[in-house]
Amino acid sequence: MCNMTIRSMMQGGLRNSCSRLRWLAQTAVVAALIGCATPETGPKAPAPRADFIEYRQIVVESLALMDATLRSLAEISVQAHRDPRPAYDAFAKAVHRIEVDSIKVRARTQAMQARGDAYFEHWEEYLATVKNKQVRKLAEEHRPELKRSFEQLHLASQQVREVFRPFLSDLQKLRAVLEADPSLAHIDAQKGLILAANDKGRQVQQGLDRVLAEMNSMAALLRPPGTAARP
Amino acid sequence: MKFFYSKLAPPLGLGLWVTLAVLWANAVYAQDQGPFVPPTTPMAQRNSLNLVLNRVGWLQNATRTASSFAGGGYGLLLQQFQAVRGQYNGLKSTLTPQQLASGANQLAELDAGLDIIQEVFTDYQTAVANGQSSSTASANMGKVLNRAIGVWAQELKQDCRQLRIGW
Repeated sequence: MCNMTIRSMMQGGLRNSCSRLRWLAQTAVVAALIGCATPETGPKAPAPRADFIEYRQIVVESLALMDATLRSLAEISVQAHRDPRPAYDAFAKAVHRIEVDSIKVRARTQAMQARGDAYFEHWEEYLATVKNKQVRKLAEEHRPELKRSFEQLHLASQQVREVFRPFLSDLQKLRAVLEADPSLAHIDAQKGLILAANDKGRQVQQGLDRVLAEMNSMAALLRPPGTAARP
Repeated sequence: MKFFYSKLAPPLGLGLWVTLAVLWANAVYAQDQGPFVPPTTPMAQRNSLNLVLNRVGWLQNATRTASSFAGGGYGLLLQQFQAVRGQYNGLKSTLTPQQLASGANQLAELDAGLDIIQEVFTDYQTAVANGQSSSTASANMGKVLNRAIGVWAQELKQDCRQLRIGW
């Protein structure tokens, strides 16, 4: 019994030391990975931002936001002959959401306009520092095509920027006008404004679609052969 | 006459030297009195960033209480917003040339973000002109300003981390 106890104690000790060794090995691997992930530019130098990935994400979110807003706008007309108040409330909420949630995409498009080519030169800098060697090589090889896509992206972003503000103004005006009495007669009287807002909203969507299409074609240029496309 | 000139020569020479010395001292003083250049140390950056974030907090608090002020607190909110902008400009002046260069896109976006947020003040006036009650327009302005400046501050913090501002 005593032998068994000693054996079990030894086994326990061995197990403990083994788990400690495993833990140490894991720590060493993690430390090595962190070391590898440190920017090559040194600890104090800021690494370039993943502008390309972030902007694509913002555009996708904005498209969903536009879709929801235009649906709530259409619902006002659809529900006008029943009880339009719930549709109006949903619309007012959607306007509030777009006022806030569109700030990121609007700020980006405005900054692109303000900085012009310099804005995209930062993207090139980012692509030049990507860790994946194949992507860096592809960015170098497809530089002229990427430049063309940048230009198209710039134009599409300009379209978004120019139409968005009048679109938002129409929505805000509609919200203000219908606030007190969103009745059938009132909604009918604002038919022109509803149509105009819808039209501008479609133009914003088209602009965002163009931006996304350009970003997708850029992503396709930078995708190493044999890797699956991102959804 | 010659005697007179020879007696006058040393004081004239001395006077010339004194004048030159005074002019040089003036020039040096004028250089020292140039525009104030804030330090670009990590500590100065951290302090400046904290001041911006404090100002954002004050503005957000003001958006919650503004409706109890005359005119929906329009003047108060505008003043608080301008204070955020001023403090943010102060933060920018503490950045190193390297940070300014590598963060040029982000800084342009933050600038644009403030310009866009500032539109809520014209939106408020337009809404009232379009027949919206001033209390609802003021409530809308407060809600949008509160959330929008929160989004902006998140972006600012993220950009500061990425640009190693205050590190």
